[in-house]
Amino acid sequence: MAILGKSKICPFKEDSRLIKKINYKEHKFLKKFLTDQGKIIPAHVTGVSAKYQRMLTKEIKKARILALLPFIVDPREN
Amino acid sequence: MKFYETTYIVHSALQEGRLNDITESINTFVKSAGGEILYSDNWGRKKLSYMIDKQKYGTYIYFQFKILDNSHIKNLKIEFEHNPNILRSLIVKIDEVDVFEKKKQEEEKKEISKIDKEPKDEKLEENSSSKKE
Repeated sequence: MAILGKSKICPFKEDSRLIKKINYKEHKFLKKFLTDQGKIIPAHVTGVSAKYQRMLTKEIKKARILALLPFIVDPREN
Repeated sequence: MKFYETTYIVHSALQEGRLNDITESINTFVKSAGGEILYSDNWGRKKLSYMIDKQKYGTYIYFQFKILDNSHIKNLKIEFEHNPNILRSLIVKIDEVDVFEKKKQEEEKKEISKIDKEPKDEKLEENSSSKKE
């Protein structure tokens, strides 16, 4: 639950075609679930359900090993 | 039969000739272990999100294979580690459904079936035009 009390709908329950995109090769899609610092956004902020959040973290960590996604982004570089 | 997919990053300074040598050596290793390569692809030269071995760019190579005896997967990982030109590798287990070549063959079959339907329409048009004459 978000702090303001508004409830968001899980995007994967809304559109089931996105479930195939949870894959370490789809780094452009997975990038939406990271902050500008490169951290994984928690589920109570995005509204993703627990099952899909677990799948997302697994695939994001695989993509980080292959340098498709960063572990951390230094904001001073920009 | 068990299905796997592998991605590995090669040093970006290697061009086509040497790159083919590396891919062939890995492919022969997989075949000698009793596996069969189902799909392979080269994603090209990409910028890495962080420096690996002081390199900013890398060539990504991806392939899928099937193998009966999965004790050779450890040896494949060791093979990647021995080669100093390969910076990183990742081996993942997949289901048979996710193998790419089968999907490509299905798409080709759909296109062929569409082409087969067209000449029948032309024959009908020819018959109708001949009757009018």
